[in-house]
Amino acid sequence: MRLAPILNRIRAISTAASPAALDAQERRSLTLFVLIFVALIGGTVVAAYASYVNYERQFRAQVERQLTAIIELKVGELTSWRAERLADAEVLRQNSAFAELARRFLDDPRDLQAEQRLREWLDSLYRAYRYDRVYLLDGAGVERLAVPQTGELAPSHLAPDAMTALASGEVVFLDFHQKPDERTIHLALLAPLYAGQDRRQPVGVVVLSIDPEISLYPYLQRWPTSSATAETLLVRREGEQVLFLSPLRFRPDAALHLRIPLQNTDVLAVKAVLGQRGIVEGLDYRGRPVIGAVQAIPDSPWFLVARMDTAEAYGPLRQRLRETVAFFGVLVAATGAGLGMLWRRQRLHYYRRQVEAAHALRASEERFRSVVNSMNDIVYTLDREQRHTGVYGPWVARNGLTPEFFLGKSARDLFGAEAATVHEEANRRALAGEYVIYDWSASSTDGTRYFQTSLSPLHDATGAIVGIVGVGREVTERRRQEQELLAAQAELQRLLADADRSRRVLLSVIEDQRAAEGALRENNRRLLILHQVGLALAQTHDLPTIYRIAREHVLQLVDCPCFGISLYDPATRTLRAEYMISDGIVLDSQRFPPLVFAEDLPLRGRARALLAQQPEIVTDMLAGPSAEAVVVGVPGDERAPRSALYMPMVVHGQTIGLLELQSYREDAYAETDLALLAPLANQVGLAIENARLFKQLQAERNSLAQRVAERTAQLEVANRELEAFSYSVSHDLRAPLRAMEGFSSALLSRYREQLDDQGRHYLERIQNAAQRMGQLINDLLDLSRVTRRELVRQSVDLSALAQEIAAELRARDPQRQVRFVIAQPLCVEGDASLLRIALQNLLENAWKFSVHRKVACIEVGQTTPDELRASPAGVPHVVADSRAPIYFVRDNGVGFDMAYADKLFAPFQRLHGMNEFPGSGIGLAIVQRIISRHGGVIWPYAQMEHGATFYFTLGEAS
Amino acid sequence: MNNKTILLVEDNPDDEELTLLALRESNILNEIVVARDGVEALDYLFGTGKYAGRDVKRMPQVILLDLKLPKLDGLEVLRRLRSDPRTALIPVVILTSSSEEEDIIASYRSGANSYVRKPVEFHRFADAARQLGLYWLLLNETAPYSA
Repeated sequence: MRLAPILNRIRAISTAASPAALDAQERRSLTLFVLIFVALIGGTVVAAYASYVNYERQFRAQVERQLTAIIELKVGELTSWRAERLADAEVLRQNSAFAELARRFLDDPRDLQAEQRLREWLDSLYRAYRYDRVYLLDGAGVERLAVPQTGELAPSHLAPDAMTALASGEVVFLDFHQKPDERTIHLALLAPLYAGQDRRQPVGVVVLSIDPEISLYPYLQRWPTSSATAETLLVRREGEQVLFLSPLRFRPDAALHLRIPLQNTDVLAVKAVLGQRGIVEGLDYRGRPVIGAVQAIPDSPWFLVARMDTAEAYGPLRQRLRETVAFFGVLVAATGAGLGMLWRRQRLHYYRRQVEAAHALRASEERFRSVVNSMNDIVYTLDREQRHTGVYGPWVARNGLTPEFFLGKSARDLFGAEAATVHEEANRRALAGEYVIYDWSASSTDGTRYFQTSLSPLHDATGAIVGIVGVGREVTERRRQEQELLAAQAELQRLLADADRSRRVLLSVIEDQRAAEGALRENNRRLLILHQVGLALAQTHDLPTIYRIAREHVLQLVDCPCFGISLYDPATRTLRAEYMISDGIVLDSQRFPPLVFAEDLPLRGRARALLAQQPEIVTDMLAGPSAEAVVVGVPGDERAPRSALYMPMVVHGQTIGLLELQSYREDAYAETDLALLAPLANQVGLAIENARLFKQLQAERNSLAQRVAERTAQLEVANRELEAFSYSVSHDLRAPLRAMEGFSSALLSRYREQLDDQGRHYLERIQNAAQRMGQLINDLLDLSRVTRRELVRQSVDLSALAQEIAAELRARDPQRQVRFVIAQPLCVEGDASLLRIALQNLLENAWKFSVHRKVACIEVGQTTPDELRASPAGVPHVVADSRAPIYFVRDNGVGFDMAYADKLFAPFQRLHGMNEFPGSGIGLAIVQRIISRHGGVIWPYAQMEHGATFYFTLGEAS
Repeated sequence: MNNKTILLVEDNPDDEELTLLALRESNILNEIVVARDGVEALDYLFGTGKYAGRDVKRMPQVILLDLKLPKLDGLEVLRRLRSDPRTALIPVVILTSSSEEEDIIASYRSGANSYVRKPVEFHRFADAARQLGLYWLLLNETAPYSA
C-alpha cells in the first residue's frame, strides 16, 4: 500500500499544531493581551490626571478671581464711604453761617429762632445720611442740642475727643468704639466750629454719630453669591493683637471683643495686619483652613478680609476628583472585562477550529476510500521504473483481474512495445514533475475501447519524486457520443448553408420591392410638388411671387441652375423675358432683348416650343448657338449652360409664354421630366393669367373707388354749401325783413296821424309781405333742416303719434267735429321726430282741407299692395314688387285733381288759393323728404270733392 | 328806472335801432351801451382799446349779444366773458335772428343765460324786449361783483 505514506504525511501535518506548539502560541497571545491592557490603563490614568490637573488649575483661578473681585469691590465702597462721611463733617466745619448760628444758640439758649434753625439743619443731616444721631457739644463738651432729641443736657463721653478736635481745628474720625456703659458700637465724626471774623473763636463741636449696625455691617456682610461659609470681615491692629471690628458669621459678638495675638501668623486676619496682600491661604478665627483675599483700606487703620472655607471653596474640586477617579476606574474595569472576553472568544474559536480540523481529516480519509471503491476509474501507482506498485478500484475485479496481476509489470509488459509508447511517454513527463492527461485506445475482441488517463507525480517526505499516481478511465461510450455529436453538427452546418442561400434569394426579392417602393415614393414626391405648387400659386396674385414659387418647385424636380420665365404676345409675335435667375442671382430681365418670331422662322428651340406648343429639349447648346436659343447667364461667364428645356405655358389653348430651364450639364433633361413639368408649366401659366386679370380688375376697382370718393367729396361740398346757405338765410335774410317790418310798424304807430288811409294801407301791405316772407324763410329752413338732420332709426308707434297730434288739433280748434279713425298698432322702424313732423303735416293738411265738412273724417291705417291693387287707387310701379307695408292718411275733404298730383310735393306749390286755404305749400315737400330719407315712397290718390289719401311706405326694413 | 347799464352788442344798424326802439317802447330807460363788434364789446367790458380808463367796476346788468358779429363772433365773445372772473357772472342774453339748433345748443354750452330769437314782427320783438327788460333788470338778482 504505497498510498499509506501519503496519508501518513497528511496526518503528520495536521498534528503538528498540537500541545507543545499550542502552549507557546497561547502564551504569546496572552502576553499580547496583558500588554494591551496595561497600555490602556496607563493611557487612561495619564488622561485622567491631566484632565483633573487642568480642571483644578482653572477652578482655583476662578475662586481667586471671585475673591479678588469681591474684595476690590468692598474696599472701593468702604473707601468712598469713609471719604463721604469725612466730607460731610468737613462741609459742616467750614460752614461759617452754621457756626454763627451755633454761637448764637450756645451764647443764649433762649434764642429760640437760632435753636429752631440749628435743629432743622441737624435734622436734615441726620435724615440725609442715615446717621445714628447728630448733636452739638459746647466748648466744654456738654451736649446742648441733639437730633433725635434725648434726655437732658449732659457732658458727652466724647468730650475729650471734642476738645482734641476743637484744639486741632480739624475733623476727627472717631473709629469703632463703645460707650463705657453701653454695649452698642459706634463710629463718630467730630466737626469743630469756629466763629468770628477770622474764625478763631471756638464755638463747639458737631458730632455725627454712626451706628455701624445700620450703615456699615449689613454692607460688609453682603456676599454676592450663595455660600455657606464665605464672609468679609474688618479688623485693625491694636498693639500686638488683631481686633475684629465687625460681627462674624460664626461669632456674632466678635465686634470689638475678639482679639487674636499676632504670633498666630497662620490666621488670615493676622496676615492682613502684618502686611500681606492678595490671595492667601491659612486658618480662620475658628482654626479652620480657609482661602481668602486681604486688603488694607487706604487712609484708615482698617484691613479687610474676604474669606471662605477651603472645604467649601474646593468642594466642587473634590467632587470632580471623585467623579474622575470613578469614571476612569469604571473605564479600566470595562476595558479589562472586554479584553478578557475577547481572549476567551479567541481561545474558544481556536479550540473549535482544532476539533473541526480533526473531524475534517477523518472524514476526508473515509471519503477517499469510498470514492476509490465506488468509482469506475482504475487508480494505480508506478515506481520510477514505471512498474506498477499498486492497483485499486472495482474495475479490476469487474474485468476478472486482480491487483496482483499488475504488480511489478510495466506498460510494455502489459500492452506490448508498440502500444506502450504512448504510456511510456506520458509516464516520463509525469516523472519529470508534470501533471499529464492523455488518451489512448486498445483493440479487443468486442472492438476498440478508448481510455483517458491522468498522471500525477508522487512525492516522498523530502519532496523527491518517487513515482506516479495514475487514474485511468474508460471513455469508449463517451467517445461514441462525441462522434455522433460531430456528425449531427456537420448535418446542421449543411442545413444552415441551405438556409443562407434561401435567405439571399429572399433578400434580393425584398430589395427589388424596396426599389419599386422608392420609385413610387419619388413619384408621390413629384405629385406632391405639383399639388404644392398649385396650392402656393392659388394664394397669390403677385407676379414676382408666382415666378419665385415656380422656380422653387421646378428646382425640386430637375436640375436647373438657370431658370427663366418669358411671356409671349401673339399680337406682335414677341417673346419677352420676365424673370431670369442664374445660380440664385436674379438678373435684370430688361437685359435680354425681346425675340420677335418672324413667320418664316424655322421651328426650332423656343420657336418650336412656343408655336407648336411642344416642350423642346436642347441637348447640346454649344453645338448650334442660334437666336432661338439665347443663352441665359452672366455674359462672359465661362460656365455656359450646355443643355436647355423650353416648356410652353398653355392657357385655354393659347401659349402665353415659356418656362426656360438651362443646365451646365450636357443632356440634363429627359423625356420623363416632361410629364411632370408640363402640368407644372400650365399651372404657372394659369396663375400668371389670373394675376394679370386680377391686376386689371384691381385697376378698374381703384378707378371706381376713386370716382366714388370724388362724388362723395363733391356731395360733401354741396352739403356744406347748403348748410352755409341755410345759415345765412336763417340769419341774414331775416334782418332786412325785420327792418322793413319794424320800421314800417314804427311809422304806422308814430306817424299814423300824418298818413291817410291809402298810406296806412300800403304800410300794412308792406308789413304783411314782410311777415309772409318771414314765414317762407322759416318753412324753407324747416325743409332744409329735415334734409340735413341725421336719421336715428328706432322703433316708433305711428298710432300713438297720430293720437297725440289728433289731440293737439282738437285742442286748437275745439268747435270742429272731426272723427279720427286710427288703426293700431302701427309699429315701424324710423326716426321718431322726423316721422312726427311728417305725420303732423299730413294730419294738418287733412284737418285743413276737410274744414267744410260737417263731420270730417280722418283715417290713419295700414294696407297691403293686393288690397290697393283691387281699389281704384291702384299701385304705382315703384312699389309694385315691394313687400313693405303701406300706410295711409285719408280725409273726406275737398280733394284735388289728380292731374296736378305731380306738382303736389314741390316746395311752395299750392293747388288752392291762399284765401281758400292758407299755407305756404311746403308741408308735403317736407313729408316727401322725410319719407324718402326713410327709403320709402309717398303717393296720393284723390278726387275733387271726394277727399284725398296719401299712401306711403318706410323702406324695406320695416 | 335806475342806473343799471345794458350792453347791446349788435353790428346791424337796423337791428340796433329797432332794438333800442323796442326797449324804449317798453319803458326801459336804463343806459344802453352799444358795441358794434365783439372786440369792441370786450374793450368796453375790460376797459381796453377805445374804452381804456373806463371804470371797470361798473359792469352792465345784462349783455344782449348777437351771434353774427364782425371780427369776433358772439360765441367767442361769450366764451371769453365766461373765462374771465370779472365777467364770468354777468347775465348774457343771446339776441339773434338764427333759430338753428346748433346755435342754441352752442350758446347754452358756452354759458349763455338766455336765448331769444328776434321775431320778424316788430310788435313781437317789442314784446320780447319788454319781457327781457322786466326779467333781467327788475326781477333777476345778479351775483355781487367780485373781482
